[in-house]
Amino acid sequence: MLLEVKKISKIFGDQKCKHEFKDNRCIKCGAILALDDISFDLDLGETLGIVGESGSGKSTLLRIIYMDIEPDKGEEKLKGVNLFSLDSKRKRDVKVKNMGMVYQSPKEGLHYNISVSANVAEKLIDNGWRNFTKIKDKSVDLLNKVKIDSYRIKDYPSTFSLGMQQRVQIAKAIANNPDLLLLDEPTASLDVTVQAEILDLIKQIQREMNIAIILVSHDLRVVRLLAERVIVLKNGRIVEAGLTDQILEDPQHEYTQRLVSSIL
Amino acid sequence: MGFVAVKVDPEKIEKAERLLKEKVREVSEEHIKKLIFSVDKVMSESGLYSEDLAAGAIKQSMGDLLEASFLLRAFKNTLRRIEYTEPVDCKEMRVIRRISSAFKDISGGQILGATKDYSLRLLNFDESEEIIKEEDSQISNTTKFDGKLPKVREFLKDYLVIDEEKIDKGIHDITKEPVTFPNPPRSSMLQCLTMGEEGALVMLAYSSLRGYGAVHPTILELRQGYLPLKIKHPLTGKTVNVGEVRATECEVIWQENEKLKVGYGLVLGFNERKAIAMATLDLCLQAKDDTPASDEEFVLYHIDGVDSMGFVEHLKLPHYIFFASIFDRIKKVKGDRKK
Amino acid sequence: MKYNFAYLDEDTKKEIRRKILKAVAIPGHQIPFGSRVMPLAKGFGTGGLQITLSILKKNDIIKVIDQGRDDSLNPTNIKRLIKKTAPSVKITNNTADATVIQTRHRIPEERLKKHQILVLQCPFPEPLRWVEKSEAKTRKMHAEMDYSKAYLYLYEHLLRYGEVLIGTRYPVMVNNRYLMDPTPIPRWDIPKLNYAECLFLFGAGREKRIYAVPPYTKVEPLEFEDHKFRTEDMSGKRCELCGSENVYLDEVIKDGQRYYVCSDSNFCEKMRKGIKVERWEDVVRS
Repeated sequence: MLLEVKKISKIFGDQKCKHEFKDNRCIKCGAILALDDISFDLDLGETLGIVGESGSGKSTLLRIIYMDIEPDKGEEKLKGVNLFSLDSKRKRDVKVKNMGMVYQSPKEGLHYNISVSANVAEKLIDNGWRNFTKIKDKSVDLLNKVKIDSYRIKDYPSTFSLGMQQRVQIAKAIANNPDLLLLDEPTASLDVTVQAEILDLIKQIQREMNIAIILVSHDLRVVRLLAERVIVLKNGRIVEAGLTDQILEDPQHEYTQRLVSSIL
Repeated sequence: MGFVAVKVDPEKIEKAERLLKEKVREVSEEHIKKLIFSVDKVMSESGLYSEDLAAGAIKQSMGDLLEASFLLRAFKNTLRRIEYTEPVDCKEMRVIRRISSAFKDISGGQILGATKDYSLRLLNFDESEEIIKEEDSQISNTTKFDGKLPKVREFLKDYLVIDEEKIDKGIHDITKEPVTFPNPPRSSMLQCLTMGEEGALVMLAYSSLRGYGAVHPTILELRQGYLPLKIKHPLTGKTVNVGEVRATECEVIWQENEKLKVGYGLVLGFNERKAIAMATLDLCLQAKDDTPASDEEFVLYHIDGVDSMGFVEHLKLPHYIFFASIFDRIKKVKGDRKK
Repeated sequence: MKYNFAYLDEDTKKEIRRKILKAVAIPGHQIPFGSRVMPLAKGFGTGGLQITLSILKKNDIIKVIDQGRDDSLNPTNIKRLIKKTAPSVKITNNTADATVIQTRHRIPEERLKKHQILVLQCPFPEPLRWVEKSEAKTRKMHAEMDYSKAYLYLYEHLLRYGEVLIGTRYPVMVNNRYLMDPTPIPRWDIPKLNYAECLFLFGAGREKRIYAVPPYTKVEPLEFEDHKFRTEDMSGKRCELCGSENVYLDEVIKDGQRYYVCSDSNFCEKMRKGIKVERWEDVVRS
């Protein structure tokens, strides 16, 4: 099993308070229970969708898996290694070698003061690449793969459309052939035709790379297209989980039913 | 061939120093002491309270106040620290001026004192005005009091929010320990601010007031006067008074949502604008904002006048190796392009 | 006013010596220290000076240079302070005779030996400041050995200009662990740091940091495999005064003519007098 996530919980607020939660809010100090007891597994070649409305905790969960923030409780094992117990240097090593992240907004994932080629190169350099020509050629390959022309590799991210910036993020995320690719609402800020391009790109990655993917989206249609399995989050808790087709056909929980009915 | 290197003769440096000394020989240090705002600025920025030495430094530097602060700080460094005083309580201050902008009237009264705030900014050319005596001026002692006044903040005790965690358990002497980031100890931060250059603090506070920053506070209390200093007697262990210093203290308040927060400023000597700026910056630094005045590294690294003056002036030192190196790169690229 | 030997009081010397020992124990790593205000302004070598004054012994022999010269303003002032507060210390221009050399922006052309200490004046101790403004972040980057941004800086230059455009302060990797700023010495001097016999100490007074490269330590400039580090080009040039080639030369424009002269004044003098000088390249160092 590539990834094992066990009982993750996250509270935003006063650390010292002995919380008493009602409707995810602590009645004593106002702290927010963002995630409660989240567990799931994922293997190479599998795509897992995480759905829920805004505020359900999906992005927080993804950031915890990517180790951008720390959970209050829970474990994450990657290839058997317990990640949260590692020191910050080793955490960073795991991140750069084994994971790739595409943030909802390209501003979070890209550096705007360097070329798109350099943005992709950063991942390669993090992984020990030290030959300029090889790095440059590989960055061109990756950018071509996400349909960005070679003559634009020196351009700054701000000179590209949002959709293309997202593609640069994807190129960067897969640069080192990671085991795990994380996507946080990758198409949310894009218009419909551009969305389709990005989804096609992700499908291509699924075909060509033996990679585990976690896709966070509020849009069930996106999840239906890409993920065989899905987890439904409501107020930080898993209300339903299972095969995407089954859940869409026959949702058990009333919240899932509402989500499904809204896409038809 | 006509190339000869330029040498610097140490004797020439000595002679230049003596010539400068000669130019100010007739300037009297007693006269300089009367220019109390210059003396106080130098004492505050050097962190050394001595009116005589400050006046001497101002004379030696021929009126360059930043240079004078530098002289005084360098001298301070050669002195051995004997003791730290007990924490001062400005309630003990023998007040000669005290105002609150937040309230119309306060216990003890608004004491205007001898301030320039309301004077007309006209250069005085008329020497023939009658000499006025201090007793006739009616500006000291507007109320009957023994010089000690309660703090205005006492009356807002229940509303003021103070972050208990930020209170420093000890003294981090910045002449001994460098300031570390993130989250430097409060005592380090306050020392940096109080010894900072007046212009730098005023500029940063101004940026915040203008809207380029987090806060536009109100002065809760501004007091100026003579602050007694006490130490623990080495033999008896009792606290004894060792003298008093001129000082200015300012507390500002700012409304942050439903809370009232306090900013604190205390400077050696009489310098109201610096105390107000310091208190404002204290608040800015407490706010987690991404404007320059709230950036702790930006503020604390760049407000020290002695550091900043030295580094800016060091640009006058030879930098031809640095320049040749860059020039070499530029020439190479240009040469490559031509091919 | 009587000063302690070498100006600094004993408590200050104790702190600085301890910090130097810590720096030598962790090559290339910056150690914070309580930098004192000195009689020279910040920016004029107060960091290097505090190190020098803390390590000077009564029988040391000191040389002070700026841009390779002994007699310019900054070294002259520093030597005045040393003469005044440490009169037993001999002052020399001869690189071979000196036991302690304080320098701004150059490493002498004459190879330094086991018993010699080179103290470099450092304006910016942080090699990552080019790519990251915040001190809190750069400290974390050093702790995690997160140096890809430094490589990226070089990458971007190569991509756009075909050349790395760093002039001086070329970042070096010390002991395979810490990225270090060698101070604004020319790239010409960088190879001298690698496996040298002498001790290198770096002092940044205003920034309040001390760091060190102990003897026989690996020091490699940051580079890509296929774009190796390059020094300044001295080929085809020789010193107008002593005729030397293969030495770092300053370009001088006078009376409409362009001349090259040795930057290292003591080296030049020895060449003119026909005195043999041991060079760094004479010894294989690895």
